[in-house]
Amino acid sequence: MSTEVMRGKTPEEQELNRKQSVLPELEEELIQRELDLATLQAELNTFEASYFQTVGVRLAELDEVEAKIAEVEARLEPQDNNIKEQAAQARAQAQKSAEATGIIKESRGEKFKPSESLKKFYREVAKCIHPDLAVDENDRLRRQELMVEANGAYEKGDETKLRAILAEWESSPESIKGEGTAVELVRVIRKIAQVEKRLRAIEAEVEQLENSDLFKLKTRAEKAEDEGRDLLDELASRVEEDIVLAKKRLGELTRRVNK
Amino acid sequence: MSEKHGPKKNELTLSKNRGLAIKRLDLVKRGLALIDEVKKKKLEVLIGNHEDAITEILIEYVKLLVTDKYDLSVTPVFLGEEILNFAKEHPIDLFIIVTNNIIFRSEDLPAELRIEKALWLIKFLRETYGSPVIAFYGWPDDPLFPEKVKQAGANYCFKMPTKFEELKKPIEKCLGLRMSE
Repeated sequence: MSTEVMRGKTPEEQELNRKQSVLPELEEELIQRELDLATLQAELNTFEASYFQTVGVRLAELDEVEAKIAEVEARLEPQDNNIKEQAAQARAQAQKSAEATGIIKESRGEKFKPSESLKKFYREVAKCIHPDLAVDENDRLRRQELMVEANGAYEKGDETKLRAILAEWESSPESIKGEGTAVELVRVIRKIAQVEKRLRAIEAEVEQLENSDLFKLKTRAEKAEDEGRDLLDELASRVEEDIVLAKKRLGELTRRVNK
Repeated sequence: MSEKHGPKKNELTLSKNRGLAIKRLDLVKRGLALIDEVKKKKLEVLIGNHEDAITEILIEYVKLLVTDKYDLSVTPVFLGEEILNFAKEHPIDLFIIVTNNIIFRSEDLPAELRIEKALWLIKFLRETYGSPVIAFYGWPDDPLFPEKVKQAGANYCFKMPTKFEELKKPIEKCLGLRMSE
């Protein structure tokens, strides 16, 4: 028979055990939701780049030609303030569209298709560095920076970068956790609250993204693709037709001005 | 991530600049609005057959399969010469040829030779335009006949009467439609 006195668990320890048993499942859910969100965002970014490269640039070109038309019309009717105002508006619109299409990634035709190993690495990295698992504000800020880096690496499909982020984290002092039941209990309670808060925020972000015009456009493009159509090419052709007509009109007006 | 610190993730990844994001959103909205103005894909089907009743059934079959997602045009043509002329003037996506009902006005041929001429027509259409051909026949009863039709270049050959279900996949495949379940 053992002579050791068996010490029962204190209420704090019991509560800590209960909370600790809940946390891993929540963290797992958080990481999965985080991955889903990052995937959705990356898909939207890729689609957006593709859209701007095929359709956006043509809309910008159309706006430019229409601005020129409006300016020539203003020159033909110098006394008409309405026409002058319309020309200014058309120029502003052309400027706006040119700026909007100014930053375009070269990714037409490439879809975001993360590999299983990339997803696995993202989960591992997120599990370690997620900001909602921070112990204090400094830790949180550092984690946020790393999370942005990790999301960027995931979107680019850069597994090496994800490995580097993970390695850097594992060797950093932030990865060492504190001790003591009471401190740990508070830490776990806060972590649970943070994770739950982030889960709600992710849900709201996904909802917001799924309600965006970009998502609607992407859904229509995917539906068209299922029907064997390329919606972006069709849209681009449609805008091309308008550009041809607008250029013709501009030519006619310019000839009138030069007469 | 905390709402207090730093921008939201979608702001970081979708656009780093709110002003720019709004300008881009405007172009996305315009794209969405344009979708309804985009022309539907045009599909042109020619049915070469000298018999109205069969042509009507074939038109029905094609219309049932090609939904309003496409701008479908089905042209029934009665004579061999008209088939050649029409194909020359219009890009055809699918030729449907009823081999025993192809008549060339300029040539008063007996029935057997009419069939041979129809096989020549299929070969000519396939070689000249490359578009798929679905052939039908009511006679002859020669079991080797479908093979002859396929050798002439037809993608499919059916003996009439033909059930709609049998035609579904061949028509979908020839027109490049999304295959039905």
